[in-house]
Parts: sequence; C-alpha cells; structure tokens
Amino acid sequence: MSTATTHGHAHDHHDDHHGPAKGLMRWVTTTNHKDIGTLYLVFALVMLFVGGAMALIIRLELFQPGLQFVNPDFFNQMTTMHALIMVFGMIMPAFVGFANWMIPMMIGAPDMALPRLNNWSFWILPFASGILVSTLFMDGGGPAGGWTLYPPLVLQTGNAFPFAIFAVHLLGMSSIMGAINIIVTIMNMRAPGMTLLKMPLFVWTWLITAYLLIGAMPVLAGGVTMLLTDQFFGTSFFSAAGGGDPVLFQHIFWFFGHPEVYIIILPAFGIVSQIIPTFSRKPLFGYDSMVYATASIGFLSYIVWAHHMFTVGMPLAGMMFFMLSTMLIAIPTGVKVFNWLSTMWRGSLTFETPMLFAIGFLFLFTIGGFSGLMLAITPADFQYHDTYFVVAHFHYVLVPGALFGALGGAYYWLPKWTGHMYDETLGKVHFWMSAIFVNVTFFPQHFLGLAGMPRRIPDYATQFADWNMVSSIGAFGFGFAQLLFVYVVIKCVRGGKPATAEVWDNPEGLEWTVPSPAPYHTFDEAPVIK
Amino acid sequence: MYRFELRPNSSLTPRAAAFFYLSIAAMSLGIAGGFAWLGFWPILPFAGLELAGLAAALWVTQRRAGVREYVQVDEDRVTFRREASGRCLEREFRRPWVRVEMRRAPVAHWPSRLLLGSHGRSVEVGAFLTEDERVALRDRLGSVLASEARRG
Repeated sequence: MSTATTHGHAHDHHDDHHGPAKGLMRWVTTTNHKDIGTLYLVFALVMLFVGGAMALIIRLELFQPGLQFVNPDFFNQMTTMHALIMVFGMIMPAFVGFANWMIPMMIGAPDMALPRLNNWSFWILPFASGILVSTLFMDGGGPAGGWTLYPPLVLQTGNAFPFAIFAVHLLGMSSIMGAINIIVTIMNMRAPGMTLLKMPLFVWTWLITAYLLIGAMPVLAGGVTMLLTDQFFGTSFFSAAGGGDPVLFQHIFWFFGHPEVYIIILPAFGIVSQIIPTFSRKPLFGYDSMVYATASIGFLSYIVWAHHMFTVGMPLAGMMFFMLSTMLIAIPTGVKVFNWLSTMWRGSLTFETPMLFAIGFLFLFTIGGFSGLMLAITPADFQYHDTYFVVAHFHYVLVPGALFGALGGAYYWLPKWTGHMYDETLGKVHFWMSAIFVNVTFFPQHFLGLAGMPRRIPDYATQFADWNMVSSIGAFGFGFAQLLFVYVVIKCVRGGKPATAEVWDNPEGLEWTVPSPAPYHTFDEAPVIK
Repeated sequence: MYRFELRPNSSLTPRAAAFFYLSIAAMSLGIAGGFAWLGFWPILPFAGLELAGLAAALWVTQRRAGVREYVQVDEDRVTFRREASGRCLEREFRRPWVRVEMRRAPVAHWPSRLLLGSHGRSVEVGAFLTEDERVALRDRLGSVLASEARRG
C-alpha cells in the first residue's frame, strides 16, 4: 500500500528554493551567498568612509604643528577607532564579501554550506559596528588607548569600556562564523574533480585564512574578556598589584594580532593571483609553490608575534628567535612576488583597471614588506619602534596591499556581479589617483619616523611640519579618490555595456562559465573540472 | 528491473572530515591549552565554543551529504526510498499510473523540481541534484517507464 506525500507538502518543504523576498526584507532574510556577499561588500564600503573620515580628522589635526581642531583625548579616540573600524569593520568584512560571492562559484557549489549561519554572521556586523561607533558618544568618550587595547591604559576608558569589549567580541564572533562557513564550504562542497590542488588560489588563500581565524580569534576573545574581568570582577590577570603582568596581555594580543595581519593580507594575495594570470594571458607561474608559500606564511605568522614587543624587554634568545622567524617570512613572500613577476614575464600584458591595481599592489606591498624586514632587525627596531616609520610600514601593507587587492578584485568581478562593464577610463583615473595619493600620504611618514616623530600624538615638533603637511594633503586626495570609486560602482550597477560570460580575454575559473550577471542560483549545469 | 541510486555531491568523506576536524582542533586546543597552562584559562572556553561550532557545521553538512535516494522500477510497481540520518521514507506507486513531472521554477535560473507520483500523490526526487542531472534523471526515468509500458 503506498502512502505518498501530497503536492502541498512537497511545496512547503521546498519553499526555500523559491528565491528572494521582495523589498527590504530580501536583504534581511536572505540566505543567498550572492546577496550576502553584496551586503558584506556594501557594508565594508560604508565603513571605509567611516574609518576614512576618522583618518582625515587625524590628518587634519596633523596638518600643522600645534593643536588646531581636536583635543588630544579625542585625537587618541580617533586613532583607536580608525584602526578598529578599518580592521574589523572594513577590510575583514570586505574579504568575507568576496569569499561569499566568489568561493561557491569558483568551486562549483550552489551556495555556501550553511546559508542561515551566513545570514547571521553578516547581520551581527552592523550591530557590533554600531555599538563600537556609539562609544564615541558615551561619557568619557570612546576607547583611546590604541587598537591594541594594552592595559592598564585601556582600563582608563570611561563608560565605553565594556561596550567596546562587547563590540570586539561580536565582531570576532561574526568573523569566526564566517570562517567556519567558508572552511566547511571549501572542504565539503567542491564540484566533482575539483581536488584541493586544482582550487583557484583565492580559494586556497581563504582556506588558510580561515585556519588562522580559527586559531587566533579565541585568543583575542579570551584576552579582552580578561581585561573585562580585571576591570569589573576583581581578577588580576594583567594587574601587577594583584600578581599579574600587563606585559603578558601584549603577548596575548600579538599572538592574535600577527596572524590577524595575514588574515587581512592573504585573501588579497589570492585576488592578485587571480587577476595577474588573466591580464598576462598565461597560467599562474608556480601554482603549487604559491599554495605551499601561503601555508608557510600562515604557519610562520604564529611564531613571530613578539617582534611587536622588542622594546618591552625579553631575553636575548627571544629577540634572536623572533627576529629570525620574522625574517623567514620573507622567503615564502618572496616566492609569491617572484611567481607573480614570472607570470607576467613574456605575457601578453594589458593594463585594465584590475591589473593596474594588482601591479600597484605588487610594487607597493613589496615596499611595505621590505620596511617590515627593517623593523624585524631587533637593534634597528629599538630606533624605529613607536615612530611614524611603523605607521608608514603597516599602512603600505594594508592600504596599497590589502585595500588595493580588494579594489582590484572589485573591478575584476564587478562585470560578473552586475552584468555591466564599468567605466574603464574612470577606473583608471581612480587607480592613478589612489596610487599617487597613497604614496604622497605614506611615503613621507618613513622620513618622519626615521627623523624620530613618535606615532599617536596630536602635536609635534616643528621640524616635522613639512612632511606632515604633504602627508595630510595626500590623505585628503586619497579619500576623495575613493568617492570616484563609489561613483564608478553605482554607474556600473545602473547600466553600461553588457558584460559577456567571460568578461575578460579567456580567463580561467568556473566563475567565468556562468552568465553575467551571475544567476541568483549559480550552476544550471554541473561544472566539469579537467 | 531498473534501480537508480541518487546521492548529493560531497567532496569530504566522513573519514576526511574527522581528520580535518581533529587537525584543526589540535591546533586550536594546543594554542588555548598552552595559554591555559600559563594561567590564561579564559581563552580555553572560547576555543571550545568555536570548535563546538565547527563540529556542528561539519555534522550538519555530513548529515546532509549522507542522504541517499533509490528509485526502483519493477514490472508492476515503482518504489521510491529515501534514507537520511537513520530515517527511511518509502513510497510505492503502481507502475502503469506513475508520472514523472518536471516543475519549472517560476523564475529563470532557479532550480526546478522533479516529482514522481500517481493519483494526486507525489514525492520529490533528487532535490539535491544540479539542474542538468535532474533533467537527465527525468529523461532516463521517462524512457525506462515508457519501455516498461511498451513491454507490458
């Protein structure tokens, strides 16, 4: 005797197949990886301008020596909040957005492995960032002790302290949920034939990034929780008076903080590794070595943390170890740089906007890498530490490094996302403005640092005035250049020359086998991986 | 007699999933345990929570990948059987009345649904397949049922 389910029941069961809700609720309730990718990317763009506005307040104050616009405490709040927002609210969400949009398409999966978790990990972000920004309006202002949250300084924060810690917890939670989703998607949902060593480099870099997130984020969560218990529950983890040690917080923070640097930069490596072969019309040189180099960088990132703390004091053997392990990172990074160059070597190069950003990344990130090597030399670091040289170094890594990677990726995949070609002329103008102004902003900071200007100060001695003025002009130029990017994106979303499925000249990857714009549900046909 | 076995794509075998999980747990617990040993025990619960989350995610995806569907076409009946997480759903239809129906989604690029049934009752087959796999299954089922009908 047969007892079959009714049609109605079957309908109910599969309602989740039937596409997006209408209007605003589509974005609130969506579990589609493309919708969520778009949400992440738009959110990151908004936060770029929030964090960027804070950077401009800093640069405005530093335009001239003396105090002109803000008081020192507010200046310190700006340096702290600028960093927290750019790291946790902008660049990390941007790369999670790329992962959401591209990883399922690149591995031939219909969606992320856990779509509801995906929705939740995004929607935590605006609330967490809202809490963080709201601390600026609380009694005593926002956190002002630097993004590193060192005790005992950070414990002097006013009412904002528990809110800032809670926001960091939520932002970390969002990242962890995103990482779990990405890692499970990559491991479990690759199309038949897509073995690990056939995955696009962007997928590989994200797999390793997710490993780093899973290893490092609990350390941050535990560290900031101990700050909280020290402040409110009478523990003494970092209080010398109670037998604790504030220096140990620095070890905890940087045990998280250094992998975090690679969490930020590895996806950019991945994007650049997608762009350069396309516009060189050659396969990526040394694919396997790229994978192993990325994995090596991931491993080494866990054993270099104390290079941030040479001046704090440590045994000579510790200094030697952390100096040499830090320098070791130059080897896999060098492998990557040489592989990118070798990919371009004798290629049929063209210089569309994504390629310009990739080449800009290659040049300028390498400058940041080299200044990192200078900082790794322990005795030299005693001179450089806490000066503008360090500010110049990490901004070269993060702005023309990570941010240029993200901008290049946005131009590269924008036609796939929107179905329209962006305005190439405006894209190139955006690149050249960004590339010029980023150097005008940050290159003089090397000189300021070498001349002894300390970081995180609202006022400075008059001998630093000229280069600070140049740097501030560059910062405003860079900020306004990003408005052009917003215009290019909006123009591309609203219309433009229709993009073909391939978009570029014979690019590699499954994402180019689906129409542009990529359909709401990606794969009508099972992808075949040769 | 024809028998179709349908299974969702999964690039991670249960054994590989266990190995993958243990490797990541060893790393995370190694780090958190090291800090706990130094006195910073609050890191450990966060690592535990995170690993619980990862375990749940892997469990859900493995369970989803463990679905098996069987369609057996005999001389006088068609049997559908779905095995998922230890539960089994079985439906039987009289072969001469069985219809294979492909319902297109209302909007282009959304997945269609393949229904197998008769007398106003049906089950969905191969919801986890890709579109062309579903179309191929429909064609194959249709031709098998037609040939059986001709023979009958």
